[in-house]
Amino acid sequence: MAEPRDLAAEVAATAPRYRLAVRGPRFRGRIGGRRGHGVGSSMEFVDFRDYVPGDDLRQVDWRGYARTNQLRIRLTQEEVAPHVDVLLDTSASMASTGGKERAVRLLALAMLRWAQREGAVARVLALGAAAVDPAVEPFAGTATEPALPAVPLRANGIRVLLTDGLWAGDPTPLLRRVATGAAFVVFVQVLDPWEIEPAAEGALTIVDVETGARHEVQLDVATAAACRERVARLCDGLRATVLAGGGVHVRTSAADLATMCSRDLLPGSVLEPA
Amino acid sequence: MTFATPWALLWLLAVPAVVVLHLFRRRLVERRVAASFLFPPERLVTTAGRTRTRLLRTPSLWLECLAAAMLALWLAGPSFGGASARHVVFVLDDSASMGAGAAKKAIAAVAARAGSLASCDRVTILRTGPRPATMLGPGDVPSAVPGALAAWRPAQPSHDSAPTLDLARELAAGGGEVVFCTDHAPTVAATDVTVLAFGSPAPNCAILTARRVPHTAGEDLVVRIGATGAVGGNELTVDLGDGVASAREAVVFEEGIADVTLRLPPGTGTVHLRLAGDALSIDDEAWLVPVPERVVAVCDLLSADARAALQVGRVFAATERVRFVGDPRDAQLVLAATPGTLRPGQLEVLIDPGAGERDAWRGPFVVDRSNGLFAGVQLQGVVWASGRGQLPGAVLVAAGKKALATEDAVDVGRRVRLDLDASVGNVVRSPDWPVLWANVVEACRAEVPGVEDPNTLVGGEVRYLRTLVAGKGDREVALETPDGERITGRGVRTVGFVPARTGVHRVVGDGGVELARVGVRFLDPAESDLRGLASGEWPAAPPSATADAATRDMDVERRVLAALLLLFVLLDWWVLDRARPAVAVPGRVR
Repeated sequence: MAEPRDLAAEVAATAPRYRLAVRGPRFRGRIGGRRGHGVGSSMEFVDFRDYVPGDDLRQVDWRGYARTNQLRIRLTQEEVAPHVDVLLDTSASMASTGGKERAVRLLALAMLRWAQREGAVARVLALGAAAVDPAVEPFAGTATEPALPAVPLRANGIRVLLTDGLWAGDPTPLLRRVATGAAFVVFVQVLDPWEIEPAAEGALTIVDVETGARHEVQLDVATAAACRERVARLCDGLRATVLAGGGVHVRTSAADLATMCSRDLLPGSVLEPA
Repeated sequence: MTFATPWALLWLLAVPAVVVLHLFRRRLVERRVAASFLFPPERLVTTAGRTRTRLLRTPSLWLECLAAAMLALWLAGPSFGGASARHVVFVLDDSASMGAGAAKKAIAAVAARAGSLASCDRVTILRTGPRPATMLGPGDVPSAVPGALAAWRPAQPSHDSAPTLDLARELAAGGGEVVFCTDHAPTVAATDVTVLAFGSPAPNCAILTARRVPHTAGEDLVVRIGATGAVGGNELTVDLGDGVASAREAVVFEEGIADVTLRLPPGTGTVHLRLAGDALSIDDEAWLVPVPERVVAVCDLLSADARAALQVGRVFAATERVRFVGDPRDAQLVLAATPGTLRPGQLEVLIDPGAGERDAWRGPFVVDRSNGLFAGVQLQGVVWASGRGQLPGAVLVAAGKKALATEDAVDVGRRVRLDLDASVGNVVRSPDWPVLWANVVEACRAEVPGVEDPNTLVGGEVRYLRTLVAGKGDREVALETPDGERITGRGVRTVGFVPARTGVHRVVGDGGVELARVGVRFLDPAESDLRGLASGEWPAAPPSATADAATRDMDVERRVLAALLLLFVLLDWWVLDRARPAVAVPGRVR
């Protein structure tokens, strides 16, 4: 496992160049820089309403009063810092290789950093568990069915799901529940390069890191192609489900943070230049 | 295709062993994966300890099977006939002592060693002796060994084996192997020869002397028997031939020697002597063939007057074993006045003083006594009347400058000229005259066709004098052994044979007609002494690197197989190495 100090250094070197490209209509949260769910004190005009005593006189539309002799209040958009919940898949498959584990930890830490820079209240929640520290959280889960975190998710917040999506069970119910009440859902699927493009390596004994099952396989060209096809089909299914729920799906191959950001997250509209 | 070591083909079992290993204990690269369900289920094989699972036909499996097969073939030493393989030169000690049980063991050992050779290997069998003899080969197939050994009966007197071993070394040069089978421990360490000794010490009796001594009433049989080791006595059986009862004599040794003398009745044929059986049988028997009379055939071509003057009748009447023949071709001695056609071995005496006046010579006479014809001839008080002509040839008798007797140098036979007028002088009446003719007859007796000595020893020589006259039946002469084998002799007029077996041999001429009989027995006290025999094996030193390299250079098939074996191993290694992930994967083991 990578040292937390190394992870933090890599995040510190790469994260400032990007910010979360969230597009949710209305967030909830503390005062911030994102358009909120309700009426606020930003400069963006929303509507007028009749004045009632107690309203802030600074919001009175004095120009309209001059024309119509009626006191009306200018309503502006609320600006908030959205809640960010990073849902981290802590199953053992996330650490099937060292590169994959490091990439997941980097992404989780980077998500926290980007959220904090927005002034948001961010936290990392393990699927089926509570808040965790992504730098040290061991990936040892063996559950075959994904589950929501044990703590409630905050409504109208940004929910980032960091997982490899390699569940034996159907992930659709989880994805729907994640999308429910969320302002914006980001599905980041992290896979090892070998999982995306398995090579014909000949005879192998494969060990399922979650179930411990051992199988021998002749990983020839045909088998590798079949594996690639099954992974692609799985990713397409996840992508379709996420997109149907209004979220964003990005599949990234485990690498260093800068590469993943520039190659996958930025084109996938998860990030935008800072 | 043949194999140097067919049993090594059992290593082919390594091929199914490799398959079994792949079935039960496959050493595959282990990779941790996030989800095994990503792999097609039909391509997965569940491993469960050492239970048998579906065989994966991996390149590694094929390469390892091929490597195992190549290894088995390499060990088996295949040959397609193009390359020479091992060459084993067996040297058999042909001394008679090997007959005391060691020969059978040696035959078995040689056959066993030859049986372990591949058909592509080459075998040579040499037999020691005064001259090395080849029993098989050089470079014959191993399957011919039993046939070559079947008739081997060691019967040679003691001899030096070094010439045969030297020949064997030459034949085995270039990586061959020399195996010497004997019954003695090697006296000198030979690092390049494997010595196999099969002898065992034993007491033994042997007939040392056996001869027929003629006397006036017949013959005496004189036999001397020797014993070595703890032999108290023996029994000698004397077989006098068909129709004559055998005699048995108890033999008691004194200091290892016993003498036996028996009276043989007149007309006794071949005598067969044999002792009671002991460790070595070859020296227990002897055959004594009666010595044939050698009668000189004389052809007298002189005129009646000359014959009478020379007193030919009186002279030859006093000479034993002489007969007169009419055809000069059948005679060994020809008396004539003029030269005729000489036959091989023929002695022609020309007595002719020529025409004209005579001279009488009283001496002193100069006699060439180195010539056997005038041995004992003194010519004291002799008056020799001769003509005045000159005789050609080497002078035998001269009076002053006058040659009275000469001998011509001719290609065949001898021609002696006597310038003698018998009617004058007193030569024919002197005592020297019959002496001269006795010498002449005895000189001719050596030219009588037939066997010179009918009783000889193994390793000796049987000499047969041919007539070289057409129609005499001795144009083709051979020596027929008791086993019926015919030995071809060497020589033109005198044909020599070297018998290697004991027993009564026959000299046969044209059409297999028997010309003479020869008794051959064995005599060699050194070989009869079996007390120094030993057994054991003294292997040769390992071959030198040079010889080993020479052998490998000749083994083309093995080199090809070794190259293929190396290729398959490297390919297997490469395949297995290629199967490794490029990036180190935690938990991956081999």
